[in-house]
Amino acid sequence: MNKILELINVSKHYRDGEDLLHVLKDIKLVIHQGDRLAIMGASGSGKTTLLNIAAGLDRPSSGTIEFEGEDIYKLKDNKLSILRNQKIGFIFQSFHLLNDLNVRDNVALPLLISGKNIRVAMEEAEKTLTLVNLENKYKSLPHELSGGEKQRVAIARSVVNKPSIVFADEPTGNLDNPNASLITSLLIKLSHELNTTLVVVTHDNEIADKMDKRLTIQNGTFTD
Amino acid sequence: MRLYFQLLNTFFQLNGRLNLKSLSRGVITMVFAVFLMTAGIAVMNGFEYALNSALIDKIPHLRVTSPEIDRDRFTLESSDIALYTNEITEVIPYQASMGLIRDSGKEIITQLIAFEDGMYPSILELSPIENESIIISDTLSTDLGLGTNNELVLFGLVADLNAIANIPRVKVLGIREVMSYAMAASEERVALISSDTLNALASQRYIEKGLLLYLETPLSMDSTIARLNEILSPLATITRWDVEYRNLFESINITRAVLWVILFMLFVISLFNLFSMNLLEVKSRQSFIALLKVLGLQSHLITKVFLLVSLVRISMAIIIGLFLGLLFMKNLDLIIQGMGFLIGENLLSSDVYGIDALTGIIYKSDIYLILSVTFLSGLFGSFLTARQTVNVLPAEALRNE
Repeated sequence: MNKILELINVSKHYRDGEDLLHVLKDIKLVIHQGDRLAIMGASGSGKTTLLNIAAGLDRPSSGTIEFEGEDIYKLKDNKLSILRNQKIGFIFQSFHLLNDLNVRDNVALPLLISGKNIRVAMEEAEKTLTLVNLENKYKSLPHELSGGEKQRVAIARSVVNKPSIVFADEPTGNLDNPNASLITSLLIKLSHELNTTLVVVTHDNEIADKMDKRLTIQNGTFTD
Repeated sequence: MRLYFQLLNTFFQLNGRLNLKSLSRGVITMVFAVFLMTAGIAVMNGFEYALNSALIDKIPHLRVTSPEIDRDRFTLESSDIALYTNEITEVIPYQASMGLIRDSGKEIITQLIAFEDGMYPSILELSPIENESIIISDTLSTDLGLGTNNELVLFGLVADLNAIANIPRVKVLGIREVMSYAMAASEERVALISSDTLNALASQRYIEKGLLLYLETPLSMDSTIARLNEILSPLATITRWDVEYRNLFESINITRAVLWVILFMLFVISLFNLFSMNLLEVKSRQSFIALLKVLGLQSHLITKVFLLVSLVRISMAIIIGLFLGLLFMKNLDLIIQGMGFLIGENLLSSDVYGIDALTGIIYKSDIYLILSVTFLSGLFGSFLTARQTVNVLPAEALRNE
């Protein structure tokens, strides 16, 4: 399988007064196309920081992140934005939907950002919403949805541009068990159907069990 | 375009209708500032126009002088001029004495004009009130009356200088002194000249001779001046009424400029208010900005969205402020009357200002100036604040959410 993402000696530290707080220490990680990877760890172990750095949302203190062979932090802001838009999907624990836009417009947003025609964008958004079983909620506003439905909208938004890789940060953290199970199954099903690489940060063993591979992070390094 | 609309929707909570509440924050002070700018300029223009009109009715519009004109040819010249152009409605020959008055080391140049043929009230016809003063100013108006301290006030036109010299106490005032004297009723600002000085002044007679011309259309006198230049001796000089009263109009222009600066400062303060709101908005919408960055919207496009939002607010403020200013201008006379009624006093007195009614006037150039100055300064400030969105770090902003 093709190598899609590689983290080479990635470290991240924050300055806390005179002390340096090492969140990630010399991380090495290779992710291939189609991988479904769970990154586990306790709170504060550095898993979200790792996800943010891998997705191009945060800069490492040292080390490089190569996406399809290219160091993403050497890209100019415009190119990095295009990469985020077209190659990377991101799902958050707290959904982060735009409350003033309806479900369809929220999903269409990445397509509009990529410059797609409005009609095409709306059609694509509707198709993707059908994939997450929300075909009857196009016009609803986020506040009219349940937590599980909001997360399904967020999932639809993350895959609408058919990215190479989707990062999910505790996607079931705000959901009850039945919804969590549903969302997990949906994520895995979509990653198969769309041939998308999936990287999930979680401390839920049930999710991790459904993934192809799991890594555990502790004190900023992988234990496996 | 659709994308911008979607993002603007999130700012203004449109959902099919405009939410005025979202526009009102920070906009009200700017509306007020633009309103004051428009109204202030309209009042100044109206005041200048009313003053112009009042002066035009009372004063000669052109003054022609020439050292070559001798006394005998005077009348002949005046009838010649009247024959040459039908723009001129009246020609009055005059002879004037120019004198330098020294008082307490301060030099005041004043011009006293004597008319022939008794066309204007002569000083000889006046009987000075016992123990009162006569005040002579260089305002060229012909008003005669009692001053604030019960003195006899003669504004301007004097037929016989010797007659004045016989009056025991004489004061000479410039236009500014006359106004401040009238308003403050203070004798400290009045220049007093002795009768000796006045006698000396009176002895310098007829150093200027000339013609005072009244025109049909005094506001468009250029063609008449050109015609007069063709027929008069090269040594003749023609002075326009607006040049003659340059000091008055300059003081109006200075007042207008100061008013502009004050109103613009007010606008700048309101801009700062709006910009501080913009900055707060960038702070409070950090997660929104971060999310747009996560979804791949380029930083300069996010800046554009914030710039657009700010410009929508500024444009609304300018339009509303301008509209209110124009509304005020249209009803200015009514407003002045209403205010006078409320405080029980006439706000515009013809005794003080020479006008008793005021109509607001605004020219197209004023509107263009207000629009360009307010919009460009708003654009500049909006750009500076919108640029702050570039500094938002997605991971950090979303972590704090």
